[in-house]
Amino acid sequence: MKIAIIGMGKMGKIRYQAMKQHGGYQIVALCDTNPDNLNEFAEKKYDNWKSCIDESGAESICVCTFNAFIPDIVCYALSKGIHVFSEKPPGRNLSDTLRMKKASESSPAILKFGFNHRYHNSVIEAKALIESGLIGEIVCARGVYGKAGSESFENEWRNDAKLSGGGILLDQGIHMLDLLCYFMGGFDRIKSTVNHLVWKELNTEDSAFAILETKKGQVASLHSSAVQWRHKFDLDLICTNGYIALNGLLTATQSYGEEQITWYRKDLAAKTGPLGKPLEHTICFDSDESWDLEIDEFYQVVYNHLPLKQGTIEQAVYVMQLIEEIYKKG
Amino acid sequence: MRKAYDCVEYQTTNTNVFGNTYFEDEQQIAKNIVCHFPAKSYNRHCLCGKCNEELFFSKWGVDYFRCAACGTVWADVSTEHLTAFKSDASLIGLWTSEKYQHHALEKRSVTWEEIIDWLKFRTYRYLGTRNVRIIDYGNRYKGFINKLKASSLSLSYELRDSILAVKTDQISEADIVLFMDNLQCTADPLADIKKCIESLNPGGLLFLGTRIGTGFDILTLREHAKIFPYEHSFLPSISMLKKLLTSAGLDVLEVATPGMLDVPYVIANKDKISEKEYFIKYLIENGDKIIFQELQRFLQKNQLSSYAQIVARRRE
Repeated sequence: MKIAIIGMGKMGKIRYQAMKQHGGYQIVALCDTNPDNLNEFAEKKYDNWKSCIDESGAESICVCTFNAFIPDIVCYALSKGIHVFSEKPPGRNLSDTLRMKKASESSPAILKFGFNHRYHNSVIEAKALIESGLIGEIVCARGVYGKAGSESFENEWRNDAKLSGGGILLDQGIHMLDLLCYFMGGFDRIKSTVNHLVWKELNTEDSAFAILETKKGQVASLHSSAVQWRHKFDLDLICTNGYIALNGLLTATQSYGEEQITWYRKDLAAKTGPLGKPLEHTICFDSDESWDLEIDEFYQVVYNHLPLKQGTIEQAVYVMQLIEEIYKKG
Repeated sequence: MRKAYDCVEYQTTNTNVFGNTYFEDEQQIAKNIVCHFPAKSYNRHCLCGKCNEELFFSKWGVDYFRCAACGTVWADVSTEHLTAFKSDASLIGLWTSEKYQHHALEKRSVTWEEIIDWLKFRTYRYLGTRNVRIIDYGNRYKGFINKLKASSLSLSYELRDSILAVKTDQISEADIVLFMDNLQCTADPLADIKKCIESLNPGGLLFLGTRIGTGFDILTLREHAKIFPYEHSFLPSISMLKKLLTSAGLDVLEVATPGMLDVPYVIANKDKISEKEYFIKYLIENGDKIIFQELQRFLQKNQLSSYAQIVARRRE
């Protein structure tokens, strides 16, 4: 598949590597307004995304720009019948996402958003464990996703609302929210608080808390934080007959800790151990194929016409609706 | 291969799976059979082909070798010995006796249920289905067979190559094959694995459980470990297991060493630890319950326990 990558910052480079490794992609062009980001690459270079789409001969694009530019690039490519794989978040706000949905509905091209957490090993295992029926249905969930912040946190583009549209919730909390939707379906009621707990002067939040409830009465809590002072990923899924904990997330820097899933069955008769300490199973992972699996799904959808399951525009709209609601009520 | 480690944190109440009640009887019968055969060299070598073996220990006149290249441990015995051992009337009499089977059910019930959960979870994970056709090779526990047959996993169940006479279904094509605790007593592991998967559908799963030669208790206690000829004649390393399964036409999906008894065995035999094992002796003599629990967990997680469970998929 001939593809051009627009935006060659950190995410563009990750996607570049995944596509090179995949073998089915021919990267025909790279685009970035910062020439330093393109220096190390031999592919044809552009500094204007429109020219890149019009002239490179790409049949698909991968959008890895600042959030503010995503909708324009996505809508333009779709209008030209070019398939789009775009980084999250799907724009700065719900109205951006709905604009892309409209463009997608009138285009024959595929639109997929990058929610790579769904492809992490621990998430795949947790999904299989729940669907296997071994530990019953989810009754509640707790998701914590935290960042360490940084010395130049105030100056990061992510905290410039004009470019990003929101703070830690839109940047990172969106992944946890997407996972809660993935495991529990839709939410009917939301309570939230969105704060500037430490970085008071920023125009984007450094913390967001939400309690979400499904129509069936399942409850989820979300804590998205830029003031965790270390990297942290924890997702607890409490089920009718057991429990699952996802702890850590394997990333290139390994700063979120070892990725693992631990699960146990409800054991009220204390058959497997003392009451309160049932027999536990833990699976640890030492490889992260999420980028490869995600890029492969896009390839399979475009080339082999398989149905798009993850990162659909409908999922993107839904999670952005939740985010808008959390901001509104917080 | 996707690397995953299954760490099972067993509690003290569950650490003695079988106890010593019948182990002594079993060992005594085995010893009688082994001593019946004259000790001599059969010149068996490691299947890795490196021919880099060293004498590891001798037990009841049988030499155990260890491959310095891959870590596999094996007894220098003949196929005839193993066949005689597996068909010995007194041993089969013990294993099939009502009291032995009842004791096994009493001690292993929770463990079997955990194994069935493992089968359910991994079957759904890789095949996306909750009910499958199962062929089970060499299972010698009625209680386990009954639990398997009654479980929601079993669409149909056939028992093959067992000392038990249990009426089961006839399956020509299986979705999963179980080969639990048999590999350790085989003369030709590759042939046995190939035979096991003859009736396994392409894409189907082989679940294999076996003692391995790279585990903590075996490497520390050697002839004092809870292994004896000919029941434990082949103790492969994990790399050897992968090699065998790959050669048989399988892709190894995951390897776990959820064994829970390495540390308890070593503690129970601490006076048998070689004087030269300074660190291990110090650790075992000075450790406490928390350290030992952590040590066992460390072994489980890092594929250093002496019991391995493997899931492999038959290539299309």
